[in-house]
Amino acid sequence: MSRLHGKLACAAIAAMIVTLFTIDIVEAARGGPGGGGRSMHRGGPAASGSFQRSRARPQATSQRRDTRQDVRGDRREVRQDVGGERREVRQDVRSEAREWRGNRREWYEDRWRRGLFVSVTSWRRVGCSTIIYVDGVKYYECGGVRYERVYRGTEVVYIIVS
Amino acid sequence: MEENVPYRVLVCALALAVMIASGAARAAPATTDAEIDPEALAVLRGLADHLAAAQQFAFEAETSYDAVQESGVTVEFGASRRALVSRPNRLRLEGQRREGAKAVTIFDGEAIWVHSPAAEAYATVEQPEGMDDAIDFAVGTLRMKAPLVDLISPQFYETVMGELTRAFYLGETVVAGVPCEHVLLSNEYTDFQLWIATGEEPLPRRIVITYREEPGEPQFRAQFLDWDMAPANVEAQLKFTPPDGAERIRFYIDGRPEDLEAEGDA
Repeated sequence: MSRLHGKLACAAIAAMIVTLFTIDIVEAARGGPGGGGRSMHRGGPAASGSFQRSRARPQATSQRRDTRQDVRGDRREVRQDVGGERREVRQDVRSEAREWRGNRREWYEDRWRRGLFVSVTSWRRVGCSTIIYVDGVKYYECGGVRYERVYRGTEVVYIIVS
Repeated sequence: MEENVPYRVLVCALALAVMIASGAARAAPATTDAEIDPEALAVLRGLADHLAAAQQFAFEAETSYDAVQESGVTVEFGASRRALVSRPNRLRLEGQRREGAKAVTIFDGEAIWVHSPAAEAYATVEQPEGMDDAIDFAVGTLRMKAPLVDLISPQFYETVMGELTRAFYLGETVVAGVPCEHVLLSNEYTDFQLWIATGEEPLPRRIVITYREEPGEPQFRAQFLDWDMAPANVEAQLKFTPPDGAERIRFYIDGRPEDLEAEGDA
């Protein structure tokens, strides 16, 4: 019985740690308390300062643009077949690069939506200074969590990559 | 009875015509000639032509916007902004948020650079040709916030007109001591108010954009503090040299997700 209680207590502590960690990340995702105040969501279409929907809501429109680009890419490939083999290969590389970029954007957007990043303001609280390099890319790794320092727009953030 | 047949046909035809007309009225866009005021378009045209003709110009503005929280509460954030434009495709944008974070973005014609002095970081990426394409790339792909860049486009007037559903001239007013003409322009998504200085330099002194279709109808506001139509040291301001100690990092679109996934990432 006491062993069961011990297991339950361990599970409860683990759950508390996970919850606190998640809250911390989500709070950071909201931009952190910057200046010591309560953290608030700072995004939204009005932050764009544009009267155009495509610039105020770029996510929705970029998906439409990607589809249009795919169509354009296909058309270009057909034209390149006539032009010569070398050009066709170059085109493939470009299409592949565009695909990586699209995939990566989606991959990071998913992390962004889930709040898996830390703002510069909150980074000090994370207190992670262990640096590793993978394929020449610099990451911070602490407690089994790996971060990459990147730009999203004009803001530096630490995205959790694993 | 047979005499009534043409009468009945006429009544049916009239009823059908009324139904079709009412259906067409419902299907037609809300815009009517009465909602596109030529005086408002003339003021807009004056501004657009004036800016499109300027090869170089700079402005400073105090901006703010509403961020609608999940709870429905609306919070205002803001920044001081400065823009320097050199046509056809060079641009410098500076922004300092009210809590202090500052960023400088430079489009030098070949590359886009972003620098954050406090974070001692910068990033760069190839610039697409053409100012509008470069801005669309920065906003749509790099996720930059670049308020007021609509004004910079050489196609500003055409862009507004392409989506226009309403245009009202609201009369003369004074903004921060400057006599202005107040116009309201709408598209399907936003209401866009401009206060444009009267006289030989028809430049905006204030802008308010209301995102009518968004929850809470948030607004963006800009109060222009200064316009400089002959800025100095343009070349120096449009060239980026990484400062000592600044670390080059990536925009989040760089690299391959497969590389990261191969390391055991979900």
